[in-house]
Amino acid sequence: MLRFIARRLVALVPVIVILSVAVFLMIHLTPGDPVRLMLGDSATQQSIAALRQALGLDQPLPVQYLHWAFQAVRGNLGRSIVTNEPVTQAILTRLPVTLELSVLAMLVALVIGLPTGVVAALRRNSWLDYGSTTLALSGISLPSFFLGILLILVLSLRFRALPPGGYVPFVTNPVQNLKLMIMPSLALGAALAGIISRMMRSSLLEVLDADYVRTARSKGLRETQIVVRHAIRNALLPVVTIVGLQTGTLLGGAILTETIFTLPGVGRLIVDSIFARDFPMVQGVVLFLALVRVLSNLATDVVYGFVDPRISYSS
Amino acid sequence: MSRSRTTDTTAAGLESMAAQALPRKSPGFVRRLARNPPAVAGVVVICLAVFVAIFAPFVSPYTPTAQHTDDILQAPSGRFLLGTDDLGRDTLTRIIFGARVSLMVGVIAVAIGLVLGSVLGLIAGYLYGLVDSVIMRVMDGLLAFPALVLALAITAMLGPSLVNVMIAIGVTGIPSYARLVRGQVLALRGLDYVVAARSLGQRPTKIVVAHILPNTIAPIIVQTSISIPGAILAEAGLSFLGLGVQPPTPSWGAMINTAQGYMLRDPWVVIAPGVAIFVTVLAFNFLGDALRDALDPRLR
Repeated sequence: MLRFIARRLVALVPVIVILSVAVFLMIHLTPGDPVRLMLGDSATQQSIAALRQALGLDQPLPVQYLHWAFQAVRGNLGRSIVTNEPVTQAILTRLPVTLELSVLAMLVALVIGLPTGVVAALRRNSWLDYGSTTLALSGISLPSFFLGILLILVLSLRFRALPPGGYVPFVTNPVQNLKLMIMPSLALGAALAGIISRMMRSSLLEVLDADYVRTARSKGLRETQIVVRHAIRNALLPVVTIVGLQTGTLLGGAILTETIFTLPGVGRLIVDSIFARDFPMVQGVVLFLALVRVLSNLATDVVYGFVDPRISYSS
Repeated sequence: MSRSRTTDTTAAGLESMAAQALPRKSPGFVRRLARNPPAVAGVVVICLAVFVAIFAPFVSPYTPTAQHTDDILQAPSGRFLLGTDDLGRDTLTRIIFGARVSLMVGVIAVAIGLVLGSVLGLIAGYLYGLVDSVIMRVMDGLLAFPALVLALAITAMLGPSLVNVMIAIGVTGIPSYARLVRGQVLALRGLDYVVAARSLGQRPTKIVVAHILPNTIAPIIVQTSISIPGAILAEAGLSFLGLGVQPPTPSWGAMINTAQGYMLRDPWVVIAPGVAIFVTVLAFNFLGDALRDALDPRLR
């Protein structure tokens, strides 16, 4: 297993180099002069020259990349040109909000997606199956920002049951924190719930048709025992992959959800930075989110090895 | 003489093998789709959306920028079927014209990803070796970005506009097509009919275009049916953030964004474009689901 993880880590090196080059080149592929864009039309020649020098843009491109990459490896992603805050610090300050939102959204997705998928598979081609399938596809088709707005409209503005937005850390006020996170988690988790439900249904249908389930039935095991002890446990394996692969996507999807519910997370940070033309911040957040996705994919591979005894990493 | 006949026979055999590369239409394909009610509903909604988008100036009651200053934020009525927005513009008209933007971005962005991704996948899969490694590592690098983050980064670089949104969403689709087509090519390149075509001295370009590409069509169709609703959602998301289509061009995402401020007073202005996105994306998802089932040989 350790050798497998080491091999995967080595294989990640070229991927990380390529994505770092892509992120680095962002600022250079901007049409026109990026420094002038950042500072606006009223900028003086001196301020333009100063920022160009501060960002190292007066150096040859390979030198700029090596300097930037070397600093990034050390955790230094530069400073915001708007607030002068170190980019890494800005990300780390906002990360707990995005992580909490992603974890709660994942919980929502599992709580809705798994039972509906199981019911759909066990009652194949019944109205329960059709209803569950329609619900799942609706979740996938509903834009998270629209669902978020509908939730605010109904639960906050009409019934005044939940606050429409804002954030209080969990450690400061757990009850208020959870109240504030219910709607964002539902909005972000709905699409993933649909994906998990569809995956669970097809996976369970495949397992229920397998030889060992037929053997269990012929041995006279009760249906509940067959489904719970044999079928669902094995059908969960592909779902584990989906859950893992979606972790990085959830962090990306948090951009829209955090914007609607005014959550001060990493997603909101990137949107605000784009509007402020704070390119070092945009670069830093994009690189960070891409790295999180790469590492969560690696973690999925490793976890899959633990939960599926058929997978051998030695060969 | 005998030798010549043998050669002819072998050549004929090889020709017939190479001819196997032509895709065969399954007669039951359309029937399978027609037997699937959600797929039929999806096709009907998509056809309706396309019709409305093409003939928008003829089917919409007003022009999308016409302001009725005496009828600001009106509820649905006989005059304005879905009400009006904060500038007195007819919501139904803007939704009809918004369909143009959504479908255009959906189709063109996916076409960008499809064409570039398929070409890269064909090259990587057919040439294999170093070229394959380089192309696929670049694709892995692109795949590392969550799609919305990459699209945001590209629009941040290029600036918000309809064309840039198409480019941004199109680029996010390249790696999926490249991986899909490469996988298909790797599976096909060792098959008898491809080896036969190569033995006949056919040029690599001809082998790829005439024999390999047609056999990758089915998975490409399925992938496209999944990608179009994804692109429509991405455009709506970018426009909602203010980084997509710019006013006064009507876009469903941008309409929701501007209507947020007065949604309590007039919920229709938010709900109508949201429902338009939902119904269109759902229709594509129904069709995509059915296409996947219909084109999957295991389910026939």
